[in-house]
Amino acid sequence: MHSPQFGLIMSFATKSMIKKTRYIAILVFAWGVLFSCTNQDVCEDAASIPVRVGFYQTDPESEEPLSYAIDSVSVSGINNDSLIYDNALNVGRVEMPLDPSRDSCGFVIVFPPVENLDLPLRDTLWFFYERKPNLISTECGFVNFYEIDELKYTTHRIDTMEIENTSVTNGLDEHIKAFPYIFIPGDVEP
Amino acid sequence: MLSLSQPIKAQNNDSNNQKKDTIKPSRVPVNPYIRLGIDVSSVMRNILEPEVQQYEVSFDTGIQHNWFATAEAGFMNVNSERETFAYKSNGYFLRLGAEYNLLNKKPDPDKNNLVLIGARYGYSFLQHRSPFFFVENEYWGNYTGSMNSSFFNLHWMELTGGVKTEVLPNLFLGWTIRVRVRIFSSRDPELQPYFIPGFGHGDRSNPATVLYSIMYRFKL
Repeated sequence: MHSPQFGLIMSFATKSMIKKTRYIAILVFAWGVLFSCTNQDVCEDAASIPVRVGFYQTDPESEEPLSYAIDSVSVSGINNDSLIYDNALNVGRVEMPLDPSRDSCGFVIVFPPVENLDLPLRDTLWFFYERKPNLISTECGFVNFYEIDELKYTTHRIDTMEIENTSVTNGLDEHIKAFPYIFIPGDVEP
Repeated sequence: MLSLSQPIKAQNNDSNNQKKDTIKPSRVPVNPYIRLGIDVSSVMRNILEPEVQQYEVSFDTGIQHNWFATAEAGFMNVNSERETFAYKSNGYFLRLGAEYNLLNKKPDPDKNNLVLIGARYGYSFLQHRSPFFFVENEYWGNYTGSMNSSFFNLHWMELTGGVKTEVLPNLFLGWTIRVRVRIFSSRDPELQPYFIPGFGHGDRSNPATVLYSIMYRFKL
């Protein structure tokens, strides 16, 4: 049961709102009809749905992941000579396009050398996924969304990787956290 | 003796009649009706986005003081073809629910303005396919594919709020704001539905929409 105050407020609001009911209703109705339309999607970056891998180090005290930027990094696809990142500086995250024609693809990440340590420079990542065609809009056409089933990787310079989000869509989410080995001067080879 | 009893009996009869004449407020509308409506906003969207055609009708009737039962149904057809893709879809939907009128504590057939809140259960079924589509990818190379016909259905709940106003005798205009929440879908679709009948665009989890309707009340 409504309180008397609520009843008075509703009564006043509705009475004042519908005082000239027919005239207002027709105006609102006409306005609504004219402007009842769907939003138009933007086609920016619609052709590229990348998987995003962020680099982190673990805080020794809180054990929480902290963003970590690599001095320089290069990334390329396996069986593809083109570089996605070419000695990019101060990189905290890399975005890699998945192959829309297959259910798996691989990438090579090249890390910077460490002084006085003879370390391998690169690791290989393999993504296994399901492709999900998606009609973004009649103007933008189709793109592929992906659902990551599995991730395999070498551990020369990467300690661990964690999949945070398996759905690769046109959002801005980060999908994978990578924890590279952190070396400081004086370290010995692992 | 008879003459004395008659006035008393008559008086008793009068009091009984008075009791019978005292009618409690009816729990059923005095004038039963059914209100039939069409969704005008769908018609406008069909004009603005002609590749998506959806039509919807609504029915409502009073079931109790300030309570209304509602039913909405419709069908949808999508036929979109461009240089880079073709997509076809058709389906139907049904929504059942109830609404409560926040105005007018007493039923009054002359007061036909309604401020309504309500809820609905919705169900949608569609069949769709893509004879061909083209996915652009600068790095790995472009890809052309197709998807066979597949089925999809969705269950959802709606919360509604709106107004219905009698602008002419028995002719109503009204709008409702609806918030939809997905409950269950058939399975994770291989081809994402572009438009789900009665629900909205397939990429939206909990869309909020505004519907505009024109309705006519048929008194029974």
